[in-house]
Amino acid sequence: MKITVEHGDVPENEVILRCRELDGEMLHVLSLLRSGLQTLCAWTEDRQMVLLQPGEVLYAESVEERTWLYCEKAVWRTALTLAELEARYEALGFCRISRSMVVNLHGIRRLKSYPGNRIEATMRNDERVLVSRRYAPFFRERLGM
Amino acid sequence: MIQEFNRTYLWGRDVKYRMGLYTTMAVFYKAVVNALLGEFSVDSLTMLEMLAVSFLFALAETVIVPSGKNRGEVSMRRRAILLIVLANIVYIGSALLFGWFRGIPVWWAAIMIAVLELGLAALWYALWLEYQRDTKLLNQNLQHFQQEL
Repeated sequence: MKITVEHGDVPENEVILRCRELDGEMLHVLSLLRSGLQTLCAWTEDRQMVLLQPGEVLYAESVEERTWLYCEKAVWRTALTLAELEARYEALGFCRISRSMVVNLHGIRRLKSYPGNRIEATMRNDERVLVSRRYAPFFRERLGM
Repeated sequence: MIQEFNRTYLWGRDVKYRMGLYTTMAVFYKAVVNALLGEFSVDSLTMLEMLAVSFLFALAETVIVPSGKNRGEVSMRRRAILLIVLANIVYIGSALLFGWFRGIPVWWAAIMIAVLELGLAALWYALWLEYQRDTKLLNQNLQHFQQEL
């Protein structure tokens, strides 16, 4: 795929995709653009609302049917479920790692393998999360292994 | 019902593999010692004793370190130490009880115990190497993924 970036005095940033047909590659680019443009509506316990870029989220955790978004310095609540987060932002690197957690693969600093096909992920904020044995094969697949 | 049978069958197969490995090691040990003493055969009864002891040890191993189970790092370390202690008790105890190496000098026995310890250490070193290699591979793929998008 040929990528061209044009700089110019334009009123608004614009992305044009030119292709014969929408093949897998183009659909991937489209989903990436669409999900990247979507902001995540989140709020704190005292109802302070914020619009987050999906890339800001390191991981999401479901606790007692509430979904929490963990960013580098703050924790926010969202109305989306883990399944919805994964489906909506999969192209941006969101990946399910256990029944109660979805991780942003771009928020991981390093990984460590453990016995029993378990993987420990150290996030950019130095927090550690575990990829469960059940989800480890899908996690490895996402990394292209 | 069928799932329970399948699980038990797979567990049994796992025990048999481990038992086979440990029996081979014990018989090899005995054969080397016998050869050094000028005897070029291993008694059938001794081999059966080694098989039975290895079966019991393999059984204990599948309980202490079941394959494919999620365990924390601390738990795994404790289990590894427990398994090493158990290996010493089971194999040194059985050698004394059944007189597998009767008639060898004390310094031979000391060397054999040292070799046993080295063997156990090598086993865990191999596991550690495997996890190191997997960790490296995981991080390489992660970096590749992060640079791709």
